[in-house]
Amino acid sequence: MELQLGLAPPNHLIKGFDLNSPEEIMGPAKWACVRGLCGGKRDFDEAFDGPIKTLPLLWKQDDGGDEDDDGAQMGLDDAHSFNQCNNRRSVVGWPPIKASRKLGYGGGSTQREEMDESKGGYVKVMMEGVAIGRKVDLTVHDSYQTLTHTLNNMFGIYEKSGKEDGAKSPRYKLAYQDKEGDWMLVGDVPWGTFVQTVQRLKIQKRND
Amino acid sequence: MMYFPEEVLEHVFDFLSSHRDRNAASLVCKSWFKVERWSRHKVFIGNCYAITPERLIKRFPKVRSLSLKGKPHFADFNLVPHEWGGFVLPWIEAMAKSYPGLEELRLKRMVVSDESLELLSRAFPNFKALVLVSCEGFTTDGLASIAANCRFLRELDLQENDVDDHRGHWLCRFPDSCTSLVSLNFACLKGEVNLGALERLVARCPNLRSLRLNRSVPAEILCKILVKAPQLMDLGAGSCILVPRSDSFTKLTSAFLNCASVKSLSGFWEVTPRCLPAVYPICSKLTSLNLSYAPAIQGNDLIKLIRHCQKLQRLWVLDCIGDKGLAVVASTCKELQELRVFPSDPYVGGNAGVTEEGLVSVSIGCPKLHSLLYFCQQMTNAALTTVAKNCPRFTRFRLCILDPKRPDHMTSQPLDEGFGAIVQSCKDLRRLSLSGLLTDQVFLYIGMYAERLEMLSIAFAGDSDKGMLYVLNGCKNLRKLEIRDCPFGDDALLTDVGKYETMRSLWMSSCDVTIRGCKVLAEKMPRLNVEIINDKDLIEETPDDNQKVEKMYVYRTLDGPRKDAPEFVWTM
Repeated sequence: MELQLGLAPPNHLIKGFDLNSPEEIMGPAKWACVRGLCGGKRDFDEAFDGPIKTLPLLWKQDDGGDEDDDGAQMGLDDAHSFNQCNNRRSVVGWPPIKASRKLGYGGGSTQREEMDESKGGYVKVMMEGVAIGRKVDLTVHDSYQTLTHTLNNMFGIYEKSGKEDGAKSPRYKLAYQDKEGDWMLVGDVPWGTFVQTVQRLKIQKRND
Repeated sequence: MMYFPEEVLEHVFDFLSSHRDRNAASLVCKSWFKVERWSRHKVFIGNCYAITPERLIKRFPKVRSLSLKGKPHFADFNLVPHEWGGFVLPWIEAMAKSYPGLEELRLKRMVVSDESLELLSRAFPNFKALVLVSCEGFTTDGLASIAANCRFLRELDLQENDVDDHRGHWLCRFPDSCTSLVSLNFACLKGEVNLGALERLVARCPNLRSLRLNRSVPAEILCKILVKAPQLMDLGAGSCILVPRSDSFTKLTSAFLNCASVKSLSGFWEVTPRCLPAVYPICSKLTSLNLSYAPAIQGNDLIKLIRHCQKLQRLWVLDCIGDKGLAVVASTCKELQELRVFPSDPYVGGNAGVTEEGLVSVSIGCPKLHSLLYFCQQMTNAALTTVAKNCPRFTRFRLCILDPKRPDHMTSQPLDEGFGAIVQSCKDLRRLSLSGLLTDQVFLYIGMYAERLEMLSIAFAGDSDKGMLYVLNGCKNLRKLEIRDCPFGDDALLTDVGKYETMRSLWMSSCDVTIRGCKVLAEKMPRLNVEIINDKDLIEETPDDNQKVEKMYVYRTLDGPRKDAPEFVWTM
């Protein structure tokens, strides 16, 4: 299982997902975060009914999640990076503490201050083959994961199950333009640095 | 028939200090209504959009003190876009014309511009107290206007605001003639202040009781300030970096020794832990200690400090205190009434932090505990049940298990029973925040037992609409309900629409409510504003009614849809 949007290898450790390791399955559920405008249904529950449950290897579209592929997408990504750290990090506005407590405890600037330098946090996102661009607010994200989730939802990127129609799913890569005007692959630098330098984003088809 | 001249009635009403009592009195008869409204000097408005400034002024012509709240509570956690609203300027402009005698303004979660502060400083010659909590939109230039123009300023209290620090010399703008300060709190400012001006200001204000410094004020200056103001009762230290056993250290210790009145201590943005003994002289008198912004004070240093504080009634700490430290709190602070434990690093799991054990210890050792905010790694039903039994007097109980939906870590069960025990035992519970794995059952308990509940915060909980309905049906005194990421939809929202007029507000985000549900609610209840917040770019201008709503904020109002809503806020 791989992330739908290819990122450069992240800087932090991600535990490999291992179905044979019950501790990881029984651990706290990972939360997919920012939902798309349609507010995807939480098919997550189907997968995480109780503490001991194996995850579906392949997402089945008829698994009670009737309409929303957004939910399906979230399920897959969750499985990939099942990491206790990221559980909390992925959810916007969680844990419920004020910004002044979160960052540097009075030392760091608030996220908003950092954002002010980049047009109030909004950056344009273009996707190859899509005429109309979108804008994403970086201030409500605090990791690459939340950002890619949002972009997945925004652009309707989801993986069709290999079983169903045999079609090879398109895979994308995410690039950003930095302050110097160079295009870089997203994920190269720590999130905080990325946020201060990103000017715009581009989703491109990956040529395998 | 008894006849009371209005002057007598007014005098009697002077003894009614609570808003609720005065509101009740005003409903008795026309005469009481009239006397009450002319003699009302303090007004509290919990939602600035519930009424317009003009309506306030029409009803209460002689207000001297106003408290206003703006954004919904979840704005604290970045769930509300910055431009949503809550602007204070229209209020100040209206009051400038009608309340020349205004003395106090207290704002929470509002957008305050420098222009507002400038107007405030010039329009009210008697202005005495400005308290800003979790506000934003202003810079230190605005503070400079207040300092320069408010000749009788007694209180300038800035709590956790997001201030653009222009590093100007706002402190210098207090004229030499300003000697009236009683309370000065600039702890949340990030920039430097003119230290000489600060010292001189403190020296010429003999009534100064409360002083909270920001991190730019070093220990040496703190020492000088304490020497000049030994009458201080509430102190927020700045940075306290000292070489142990140095001259400065000795001076600071003796300065603290001289402060016989300090009851409340906070700050310590940066500190050399080995210098904490300088503070010991005042610890035994402290009733309030806030070290939640002092991550440098940990482990044994923290524990040793706490052992000196036997009279503590309020304690705010970081979770690096650990269960061990909480056990020390339990055995030392027998008078403890309020405890808040904040996460040191919200994103790190593992062994750091506190668990149910710490909470249980405190519940055993501190029987007067009635207010709790507790961020922890894990919890059990057994622990919650024990806590409920030991501390039946909780009025505020906010538990945040850092991993969403985490079950009882011993039994893997949902935490319904534990929270159920809390609401059943604590009959005076007014505020509750839930976390962990929870089913509809917990809401059944809440609806059944939490009769006095006024504010409820729910996240990642419940199975169906029934959950929300239990709460709406059962909690007769509910004023604020905020829900995120729960499977509650239109049925729950629309079953009892009249309920929302008895409440201040309802927030629902990432739930199953649809646009249609919001439209129906708005149609049925014209005295509610049903706002949908779309903080993402919309390609389609007219979305499908079946679409789920990402963020909905519903509140009662006398004055209809607000005129200052940004384009991403739709009022249905």
